[in-house]
Amino acid sequence: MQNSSNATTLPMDAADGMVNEDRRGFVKKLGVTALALGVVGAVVECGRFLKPNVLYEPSRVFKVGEVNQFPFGSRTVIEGKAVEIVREKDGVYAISLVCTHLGCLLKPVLNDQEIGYSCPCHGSNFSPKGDVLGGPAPRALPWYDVYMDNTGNLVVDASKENQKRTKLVV
Amino acid sequence: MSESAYSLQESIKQLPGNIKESVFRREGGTPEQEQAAAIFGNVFLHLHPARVHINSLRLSYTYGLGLISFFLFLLLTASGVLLMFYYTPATQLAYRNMKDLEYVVSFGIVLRNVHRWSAHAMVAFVFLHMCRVFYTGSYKAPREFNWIIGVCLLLLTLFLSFTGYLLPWDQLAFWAITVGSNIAAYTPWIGDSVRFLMLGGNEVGQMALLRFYVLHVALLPLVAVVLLAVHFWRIRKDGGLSRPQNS
Repeated sequence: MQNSSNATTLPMDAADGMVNEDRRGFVKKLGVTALALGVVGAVVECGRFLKPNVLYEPSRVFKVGEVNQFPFGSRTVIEGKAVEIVREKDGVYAISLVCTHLGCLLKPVLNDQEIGYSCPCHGSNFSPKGDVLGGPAPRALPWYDVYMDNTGNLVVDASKENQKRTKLVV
Repeated sequence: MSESAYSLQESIKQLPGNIKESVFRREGGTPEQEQAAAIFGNVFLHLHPARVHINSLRLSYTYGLGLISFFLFLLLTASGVLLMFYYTPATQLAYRNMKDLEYVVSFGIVLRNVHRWSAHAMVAFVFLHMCRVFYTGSYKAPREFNWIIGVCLLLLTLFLSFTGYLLPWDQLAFWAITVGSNIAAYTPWIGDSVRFLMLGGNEVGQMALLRFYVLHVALLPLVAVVLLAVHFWRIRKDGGLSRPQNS
């Protein structure tokens, strides 16, 4: 381009003095867009693929036994379910035994006025009602919904939290 | 006919020579040439370049920490592949397989311990290597990019340790991963999704074991190999190992 003479211009320019850059730019944008869509699609697909649609996990709703298995004043740990059934004069409730800090299994503390549950991992303590007394736990222990089915068995629904902490009167 | 004609007898005679030549890629020379070529032509002797500055070779400068980390990685790969012959990533079998490796399989306990101690050592040596790079200022220009690659390799080492921790499927493994995945769940906004994707469910079970296994034996090592290649390549592109100035 340093030579100002027209004799050295390319034949392409010589024809009508223009190369259709618009079309080239359009094709380039189209290609980049298609590539980006493909990459984003592949990432989304991979992410979605890794999220299982069916979980072969134990049901969060489970029977714990007939009510007379839980005498007044008793605290019964349901093995393998991380739930404790507490029967009091005025009703029954189910409390989670999973520490709200990092998910360790809590140890029920018996014969203690203040501490009801203690975590072996990082030392959180909870009151018998599940409120945090100390340690790193950020939240109180959730109570779960409890109801009685038509066969007279108590059923715990661990997928539903009993926000109001109501007891089942039986 | 003429000498150029194909002769089966001649071909068979030349065969051993041809094989040797194709492996070593050279014809005979003087003893000195042979010795030099043996070094130049050997990839395993070329993790370092053929020509290295004398200050880079001072043991007290690098202590060979990077190379030690790399050789531990190789040792872990070798022992890990062997362990895979006896291990099934299933909740009913994993713990028994691990116990079989300890008490039933010949030399199984040796391999398991080699794998275990090398893994601990690799974390330690990668960390020490990082300290060396930091204290010698080797992360400075033009080596910033390689420092970042190194940080990624440290994280990969830790992820490999974490995923390997679950595989024995004992109480320690179960609770360590329960706690670890709940730590991940504290990530703002996406925490619960991260935990769910990591475990492939809501609790540490079969899906979690399988996912950790695949990450541990396939995905993470592959990424590590690629990053190691970039890491070593960048050392040369950045002008070789950092070294003290000539005094």
